[in-house]
Amino acid sequence: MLRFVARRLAWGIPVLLAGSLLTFVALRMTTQPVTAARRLRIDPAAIARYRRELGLDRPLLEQYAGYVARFFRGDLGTSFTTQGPVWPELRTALVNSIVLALVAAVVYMAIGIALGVVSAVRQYSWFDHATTGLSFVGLSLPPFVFGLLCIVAVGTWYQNLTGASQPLLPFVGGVYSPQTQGFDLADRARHLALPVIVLSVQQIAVYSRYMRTGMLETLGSDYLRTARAKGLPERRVIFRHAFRNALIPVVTFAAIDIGALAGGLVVTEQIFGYQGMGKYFVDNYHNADYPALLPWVMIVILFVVAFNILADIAYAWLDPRIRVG
Amino acid sequence: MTIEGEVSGSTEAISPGRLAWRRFRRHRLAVVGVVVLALITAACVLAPFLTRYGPNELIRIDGAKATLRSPGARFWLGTNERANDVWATVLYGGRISLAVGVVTALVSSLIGTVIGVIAGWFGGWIDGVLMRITDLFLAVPFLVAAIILSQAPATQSWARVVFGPPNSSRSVVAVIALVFWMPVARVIRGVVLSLKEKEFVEAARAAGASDTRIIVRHLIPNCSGQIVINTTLSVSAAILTESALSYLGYGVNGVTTPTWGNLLNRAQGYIEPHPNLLLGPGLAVIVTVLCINFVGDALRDALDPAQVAS
Amino acid sequence: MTSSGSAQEPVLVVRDLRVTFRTPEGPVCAVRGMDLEVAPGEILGLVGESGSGKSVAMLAVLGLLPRNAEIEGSAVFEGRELIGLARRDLRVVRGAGIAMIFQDPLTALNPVHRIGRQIAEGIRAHQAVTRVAADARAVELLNAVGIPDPERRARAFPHEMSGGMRQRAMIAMMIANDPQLLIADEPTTALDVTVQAQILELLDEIRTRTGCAMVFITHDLGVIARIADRVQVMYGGRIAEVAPTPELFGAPTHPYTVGLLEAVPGPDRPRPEGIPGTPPSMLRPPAGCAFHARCPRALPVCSEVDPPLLTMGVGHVGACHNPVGGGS
Repeated sequence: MLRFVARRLAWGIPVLLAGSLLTFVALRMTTQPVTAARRLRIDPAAIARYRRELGLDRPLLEQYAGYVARFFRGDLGTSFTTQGPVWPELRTALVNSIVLALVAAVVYMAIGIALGVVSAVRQYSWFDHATTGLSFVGLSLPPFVFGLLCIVAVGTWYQNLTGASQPLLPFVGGVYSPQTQGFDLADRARHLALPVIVLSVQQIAVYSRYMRTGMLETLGSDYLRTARAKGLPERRVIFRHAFRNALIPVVTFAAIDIGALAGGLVVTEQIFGYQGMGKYFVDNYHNADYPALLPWVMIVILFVVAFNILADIAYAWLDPRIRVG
Repeated sequence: MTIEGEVSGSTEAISPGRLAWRRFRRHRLAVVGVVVLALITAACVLAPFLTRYGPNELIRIDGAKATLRSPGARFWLGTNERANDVWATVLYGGRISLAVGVVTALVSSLIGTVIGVIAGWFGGWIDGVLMRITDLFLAVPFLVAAIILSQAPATQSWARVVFGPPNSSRSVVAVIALVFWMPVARVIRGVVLSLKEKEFVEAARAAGASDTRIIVRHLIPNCSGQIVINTTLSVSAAILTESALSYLGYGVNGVTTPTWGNLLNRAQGYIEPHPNLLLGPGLAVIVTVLCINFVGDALRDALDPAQVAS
Repeated sequence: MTSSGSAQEPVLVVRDLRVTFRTPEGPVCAVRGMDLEVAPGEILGLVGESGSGKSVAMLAVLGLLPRNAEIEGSAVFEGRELIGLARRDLRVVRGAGIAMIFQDPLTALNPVHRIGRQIAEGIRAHQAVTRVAADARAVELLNAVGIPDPERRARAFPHEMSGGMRQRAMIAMMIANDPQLLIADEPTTALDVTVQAQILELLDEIRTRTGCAMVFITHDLGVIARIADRVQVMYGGRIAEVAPTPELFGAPTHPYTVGLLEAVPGPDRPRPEGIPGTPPSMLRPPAGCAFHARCPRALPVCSEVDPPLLTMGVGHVGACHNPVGGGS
């Protein structure tokens, strides 16, 4: 098993380095940090300092190497736009994205998996047809349409219907209402509600379809027939045999899926003004705030690689056939 | 399960094409989907006949700009903040959105299939290198990659030559295709790997067939089902991605060319009092993508070689 | 139909079993009126080609067919009617009264659970024992079926064992609760010839040791000759012939049986001959005798009237209008 992990790490580290290098190059090529900095009317001394720090005059590879070294030492650089350290903003964005991802994941995975299992066990029933139909709709609802629709629904329509002065759920202002100080759970929850709903609708569709397909496959397998032939209670047959085996691909998929959420939800966060990693990227890219973007790239790729490795480990742990070598 | 394999069914010979069509026809929703898609495409193509306004035409009524009118007899979906007829913008915008979707899907399928076949067939270090490259791209969220790539023509002249000017349909197609070929390559590579083990490939090799011949005459036809399914579903994914990019402002330029995506972007500030601005392009996207998904799912059923029995 | 001569009650009595599958192409009649009896301690061989309905019939008795299967007829086990029995009651019979082993142990065993656990699971489904006791019993069973180093093997996964050992493990799993009847569905087809012989020996030994009856489904006549007391030949979802093994091989009456025997190579038959033609479609079953299209002894009546089951000898029946050896 240890050898397996070591091999995955040997895959992961080059991907991390090459991926971030590639992105650095792409960012460098498609932004003009110094021009942007001048546009933002940043003090020329600061600009000169950036040039030195980022090594913008030196070859790309050197810039990159220098940057990576500093990153792993904990120095994440200074942002153009805020003129302050990058880390606090980035950290807030990361935390917000993680919170959103985890809360939503609990919701949509529980619902999606449950729907998928029941649909498969009761194949061709009205429940199955209804769930399949809803899944299709969920998969076809792009977040920006659905998100905007939600905004209209909880805003104008709700207010017209009930005569309330405030929308049912806040849809702008990101994580907290402007007047909230410190940590307010209720407020946080209310602001999380709409992004979670929008994300969940699509993901429930994905996971329920995935689970259903996996369950149908295991339900039709020979070993399930054997389990029944042994005289096992039906519940045990379904859970310890069909579900347990069907869960394997879903778990690996989920691990990779969650890893990808570290990059934030570009569109959804934009709609609701939620300050997550997606919005962080878009805002800073718009400002060509190069030093703010580089650590973002490193962190996102780090998460993706880490969760990919985790997915592989989970797969090997769950399916003993993979453990060979 | 082998039970039904034990029971001999009819032994009529039907061509795989007809068999697939028969299985497809059983999915009524998919058939409806095809019809609806045909209608939508026809509507967009025949836009000049279905509306007398242009997509960017500033409409004046009694000398004043007819902005933000509600839907009614004259303007079926109302007018938007620039005094354009929303129905017209949706129709003309559809042309771009659909075209971008289809072309992107075709291009990315082509690239992905070629690379997948090469990687799967030749294996070894070629496979290793190609798969590493796809891994790299998958490490960055694809919208982010698309956003960054979309700006390449803005700052790099070579990119402008290859992709076209920034924020044009051509560059958007190129950008999305560049991001989409990876999953296709992965899937096709998997299919090729499993086909490589089959006896007919060994037989062909034993008969002295060259690599190219085997690839063209044996592998690709056997992947064709998978390719068709992928391409179909890529169209809906491409339409969604173009819309997302345009929504964020990195897609097709909204000032000159409406697409469903940038229409939604423009609508955002006005949707509360005027939901028709959202519903027009929004429903167009949803319905189109929904139909494509139905069709793709039915195709998967019809073309999946694993389900040939029964 | 007479039983094999034992004075005791038969373990399983199947009468007029019919199984039809609802498919998109139409109803497929896999079993079209089959009878079967197994006496205690006897091994009944069930022979036929693919599509003859032999596996389907036995799966129907245990209620293990997919949902699109319609089952009619009667199957009485220990005085209880199994066809149409509620699932709750059926599961008491499965794995304890009647057990079934399958053809390919690699796919028939759950790949992610250890062998010992899978056996123990079957034990605990029918006996009130602790997990520890069940695990210990599982090791004992593995030993009893001839698996060396059973403690270690109990903790292994199916893919870590050879084909022969896997099949032994499956047998161990199914005899764990001392069934009265063991149905073996082509248990040796997926194995090498040498391993086949070992498994057959094992099954024979189990029968002698525990006195359980067996229905041995196969298409291989060599296996039948080796292990079965009586043989039932099926074709097109119906019985063709039933006889004690020596008599079936020595004096077959149904042309299909004759054809089967002639298709087996032997010292006096260096060049075996296959039976011309293909099995009939069960989607549109032929009228009359299912075999008439391929039968060298076919009479006009064979294509119209379903041949009745006639007595050909002691404990020997055949369904033929024109049997070999006379009689019509």
